Amino acid sequence: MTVTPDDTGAASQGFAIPDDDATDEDVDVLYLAGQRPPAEGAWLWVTTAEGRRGGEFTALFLPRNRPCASGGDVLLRIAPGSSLADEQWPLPAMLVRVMAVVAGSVIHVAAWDHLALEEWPEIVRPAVAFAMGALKELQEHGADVGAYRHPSGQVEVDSAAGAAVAGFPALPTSVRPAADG
Amino acid sequence: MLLHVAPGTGPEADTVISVAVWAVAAGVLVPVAAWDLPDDGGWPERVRATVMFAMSAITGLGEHVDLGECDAVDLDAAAGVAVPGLPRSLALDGRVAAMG
Repeated sequence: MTVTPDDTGAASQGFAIPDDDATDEDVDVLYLAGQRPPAEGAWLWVTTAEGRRGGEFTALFLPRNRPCASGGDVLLRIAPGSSLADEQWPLPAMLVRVMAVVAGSVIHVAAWDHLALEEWPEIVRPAVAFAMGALKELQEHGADVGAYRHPSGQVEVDSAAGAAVAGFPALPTSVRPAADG
Repeated sequence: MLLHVAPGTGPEADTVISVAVWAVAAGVLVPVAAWDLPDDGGWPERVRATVMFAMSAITGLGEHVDLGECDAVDLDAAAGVAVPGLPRSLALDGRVAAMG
């Protein structure tokens, strides 16, 4: 189910971020446009990102406490933009980072420090769609983007984002044994 | 991978530079990300991580899929009709390399 402005209940207030468990209802990311993010920021796990402008773009809020993600996930980190007054970048603004989880690492995809509150979902859509498409294709063709470093198989995104890297790590590739040995 | 760099537009055009990262895959021009950045010479570092991600992804895909490296694309024409996301043809048109 996707939460939209027409829905009722607490989750329809926009940034309804759970404390300990990921939400089980997708949020319409387009609906978040124009709303100020919480001061501490939020993590979103993108579940759908159509390429066309205005197309489906949904995500789940990760919990405030110990947010985790798995290999192949594409995440959005959103937070208020810089509070510094700047003639060139009038407030309010959003900081948005698109990140991917690959082989136990969090990888930078794209970042913006000053996006208008009303426009940010469509600005970041191409990067999200590209990352999701690339990871999906890689998985379908045998690359193990979910190879883990942590025994639990998940990545704690707050700590991993602090050590985020650029570019893919080497990916293990699944190998089919030869039929005749 | 391609970078498109152009003067900014709008009221801050004199101090802004527009930068976009594009990928070419299977004969299709794919937008990856775009920014309006301060024209202070720092834009290459701002876009580096995105270029590295996209190059890594395309390189990884190229090991399994024919991305049409020899197929030239008319960039100006393709940019006008570009849609975000990798083309479906990667999975559907039989370009997939044999896996064994």
